[in-house]
Amino acid sequence: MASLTAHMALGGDAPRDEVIGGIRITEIADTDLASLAIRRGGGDAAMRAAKTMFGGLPAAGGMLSRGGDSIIWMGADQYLVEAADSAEMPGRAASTLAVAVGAAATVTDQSDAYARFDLQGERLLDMLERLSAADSRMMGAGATVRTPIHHMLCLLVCREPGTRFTIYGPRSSAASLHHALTAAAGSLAHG
Amino acid sequence: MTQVNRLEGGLIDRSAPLSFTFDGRRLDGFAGDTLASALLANGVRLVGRSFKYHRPRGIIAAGSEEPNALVELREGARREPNSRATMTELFDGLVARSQNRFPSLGFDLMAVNDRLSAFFGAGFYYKTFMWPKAFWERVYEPLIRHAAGLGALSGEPDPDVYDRGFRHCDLLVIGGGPAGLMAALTAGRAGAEVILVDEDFRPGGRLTMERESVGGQSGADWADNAAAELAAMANVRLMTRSTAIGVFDHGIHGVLERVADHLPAAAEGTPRQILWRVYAKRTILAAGATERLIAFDNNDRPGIMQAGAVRAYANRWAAAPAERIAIFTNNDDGHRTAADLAAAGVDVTAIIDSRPDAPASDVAELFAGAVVTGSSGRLGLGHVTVRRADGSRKHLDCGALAVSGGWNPNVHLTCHHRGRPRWQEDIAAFVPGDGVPAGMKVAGAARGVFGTAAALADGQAAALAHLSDLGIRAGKARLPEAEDAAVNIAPLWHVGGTKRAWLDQQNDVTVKDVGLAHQENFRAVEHLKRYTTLGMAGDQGRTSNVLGLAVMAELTGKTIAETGTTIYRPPYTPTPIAAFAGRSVGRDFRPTRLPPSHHWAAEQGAVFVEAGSWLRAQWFPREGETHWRQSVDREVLATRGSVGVCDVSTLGKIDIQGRDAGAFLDLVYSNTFSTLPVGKTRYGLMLREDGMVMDDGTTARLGETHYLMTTTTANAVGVYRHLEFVRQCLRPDMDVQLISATDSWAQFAVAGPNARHVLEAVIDPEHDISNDAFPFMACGGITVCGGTPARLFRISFSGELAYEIAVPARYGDAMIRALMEAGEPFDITPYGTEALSVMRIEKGHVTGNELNGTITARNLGMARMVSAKKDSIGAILAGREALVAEDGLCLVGLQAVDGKPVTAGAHLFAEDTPVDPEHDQGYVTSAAYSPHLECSIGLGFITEGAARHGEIIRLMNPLEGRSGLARICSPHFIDPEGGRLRG
Repeated sequence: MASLTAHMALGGDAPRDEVIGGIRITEIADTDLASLAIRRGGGDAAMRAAKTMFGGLPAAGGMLSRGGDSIIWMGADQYLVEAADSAEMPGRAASTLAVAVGAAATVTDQSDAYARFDLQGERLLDMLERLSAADSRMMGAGATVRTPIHHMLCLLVCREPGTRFTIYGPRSSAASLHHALTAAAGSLAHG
Repeated sequence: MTQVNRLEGGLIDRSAPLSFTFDGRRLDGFAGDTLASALLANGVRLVGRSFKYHRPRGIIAAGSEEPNALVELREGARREPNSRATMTELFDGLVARSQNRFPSLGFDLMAVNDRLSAFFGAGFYYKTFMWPKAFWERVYEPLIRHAAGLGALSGEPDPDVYDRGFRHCDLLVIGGGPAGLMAALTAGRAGAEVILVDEDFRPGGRLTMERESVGGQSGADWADNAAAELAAMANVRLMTRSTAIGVFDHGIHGVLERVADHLPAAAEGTPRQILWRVYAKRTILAAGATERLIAFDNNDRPGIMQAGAVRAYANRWAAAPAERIAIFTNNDDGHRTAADLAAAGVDVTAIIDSRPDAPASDVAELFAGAVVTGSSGRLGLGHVTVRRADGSRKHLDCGALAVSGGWNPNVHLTCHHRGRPRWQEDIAAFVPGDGVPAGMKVAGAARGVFGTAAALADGQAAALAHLSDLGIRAGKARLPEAEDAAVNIAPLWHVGGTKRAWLDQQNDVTVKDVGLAHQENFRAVEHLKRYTTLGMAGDQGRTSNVLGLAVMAELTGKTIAETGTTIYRPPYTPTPIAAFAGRSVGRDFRPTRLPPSHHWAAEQGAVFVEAGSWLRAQWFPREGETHWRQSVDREVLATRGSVGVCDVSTLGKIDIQGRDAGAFLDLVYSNTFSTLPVGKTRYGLMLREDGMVMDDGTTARLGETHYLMTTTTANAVGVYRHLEFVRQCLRPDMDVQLISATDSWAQFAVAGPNARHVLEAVIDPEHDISNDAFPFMACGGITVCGGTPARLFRISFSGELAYEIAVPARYGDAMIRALMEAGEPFDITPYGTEALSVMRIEKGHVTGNELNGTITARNLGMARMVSAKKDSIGAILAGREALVAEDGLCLVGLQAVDGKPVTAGAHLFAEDTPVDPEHDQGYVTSAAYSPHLECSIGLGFITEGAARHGEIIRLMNPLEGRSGLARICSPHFIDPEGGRLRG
């Protein structure tokens, strides 16, 4: 049997990439994600491992990055690790992380749990304020927040203040989330 | 020039003429006009008919408080009834129509109501239409409903889009008059994040409508300059055409921005309106004040207006309602109108001032200590009757009467957290009292501080106080010089007469109606409001409430302070439901979840069904199949005959890990999971705390400390929330980590005698899935199609030899195609949720239909699954006396015996008993046509069912008018011994 071909969250063979209302909306498929949940009593060991890998564990609403890999706060003792996807080794983030933290934390591959959209544009904040109650104007680089967007629980990550953000949403709702994004971008035309 | 009542000057742009129609008549105006100002300039006074009596009505106000001038705007699907002409910006091509009249505004047949007014007093519908009783629903109510209401919707879907949005600020300033502008300037210059909202399209509030100077320039110019300074500040957002409609908890405000209402239509894809949720650390309410009228006989004739509005039309819009205008006032503000009108060249007929010590006037004849007692004129004001101080009467010719009864501070938003306004005697008005929302200060006229200089100072002071609270340093800038005026009011609410004097013109409530309420003992203000509907129209009684309760106070002999006032609720002004809905309309009402094989299923022509937010394939029609049953029967028979495949990714999947994962599952499931061997799957029953079944599903043990729970599709979120509650609140001591894996995995059920053959073709050869190596309820990690990681579970919902195979979601589409290819030699058949349901009913597997929240494990015949050896949630309360009674409901199968279908929802009765609740023995939860048994079957609950197999029972479905006979049997119609799934 021939090997299986991966599809994008939006269902295509290649990621969607478009510019609407001056906002570039790009589907990102090559991100490896892993959830890190600290076990009882594993805090110190997890912190040591995280220090080596990311420089530490981020506080609520924060993200720490090192060498292209990032760790994002998701909840009490819960983090999301974001790494560049490796074609040779799918789930690299999860396996590397699992080795690093050992029994201190539970690691789950989350690469296929989310759809990721990167947004870029001069008027991005005007678009984001149509989507989320998060105060995106006050978000600096590396600030993150979990926020509902059109009834979907999403993760908003600020890459560059004001102009570049990432939105992670449930993979099964990728089409609805994408629609919400394109509609919001399209509604900016009125000025 | 057709605009007969157009004056010189004003803030309109005469270089931008616009044309519009009213009731089909072409009229002209200018940019900067409202529909109301343009109608007045064109000599149009009659614009509508009243709600109940169909009295001719005209424009009263110049702002959002307008009770009368409600019109239909636009045409076709964009037709919008009940639009206030005073808030409608004129644009070229605007189409407006009067409403609530037939056949025409000038001649309205329904005006007969006015002649019959004796029968239509307050509360008439409580007293009339009582007999005969049967007429109420069939005759009276339809009749009243037909007569009620003003304009009508088009009935077509709204073609516009509406957005919702969220903004944050340190200080929200509501109102762009002198107090608001000064507050915003103070905070903006201090560097605070400021949002200023103003409902007008031109900031300045009354400054745009008065002849006065601020800081050495006209008030309007000062406001323009202030707005320009604010607009240039990066930390300030100036939102015009935006109304703060409500104050909610924690500094949240609703603000409706009318983005495109001043345009023929919004640009494609852009919103007509945006409902903003503004999060403000502090708020200043600077909403100004609304002038009230004085009630007298027939005071609702077109042309009788607020004096301040008449002045505003003259000063800002260069429009007068008539050539000759009289003034009726009880305070100095009426004189200001007289002076401004005279300055604009309007003939001021007279000033009728109820105060005996009225100040002298050099612009018109003054009647001091006099009142207006009545009006006359057909479809508009022609004369007023004046009763002089000495009792003598005089008729005055005038086309308009400008009435000033004093000004009511716009306290509405201070009431949204149940604040009660307080009566302030010296200005004869209610001002904000206790209970103003936390973080809100009120400034300027909104708290009874009248006069421009005072408002500027008040706005600044409020801003400084808030800034100091927020720790933002601010300097006290020198205030611009401005005028101030004393109020000098001698309250006058109504002039006694013999005819009807209107209080609430939008709901047609008169002084007599208040008298009737008093007579019938509805004297408390809240009763008065409900009994008469005073203040219950779209304007929330902004021009009428105080008058109404003042009349009641007079009747009861109490002061107004003792009488009190009703309070206001959001929204401050009428707000379209569409704005609340935002983008959540039609197909986008809720987001949709698509299973990984969705696109493939769509290619196959699948018929989809919504299952919660999921869109699932319901069946896959083939050429020649004309009825869904043909497709479903084929899918069932093909699966049981050879092999079928179904996307089951929608089932909830919860990854559970941790040292205490097993103990945690023992707690949340009624049966035991800590003893489950690694590589095995077990069916689990989850109870609520009250002992009822919450959900069921299988849980696999993937590792020593690693389990994967599956839930029903419908309960996935609820179960996950429950588990988090247990983990975080009930047993925080346990080492358990939870994460949803639902979206991560694409999962397919492969069922039927040939299921193993199909899977062997896709699963990499190093994995042995023979019956010995991978028996029923086995599970484990495998690889497919040359190395793709996957999971295999040998579980069966259909009752056949079956597996569920899971791959990372990104491979879901490829996996279904690979399975279809591998299954070709076995005629593999994709099946949808309908066939899935038929097969699980045939097998007697329960689902959401059975687990309806009232069912216990015992009802399901699974009492033994509630382990007595350990504690689990719900185990104790499942043992309640009534729940363990011998005659309890019991799950049974039902097989039709008379050819009539078993229908879900039917209730079960013995053949010889009456059909009533007393003799109800149970009900049908699921039903299907079984192609295997070639008859209709069902599952249901019936008392003592286990002992009644073989009995014939009556199925009654009075709602659908159906009945039938069925044989009670085992719920396992197919392979009750389970040989197939173990094969």
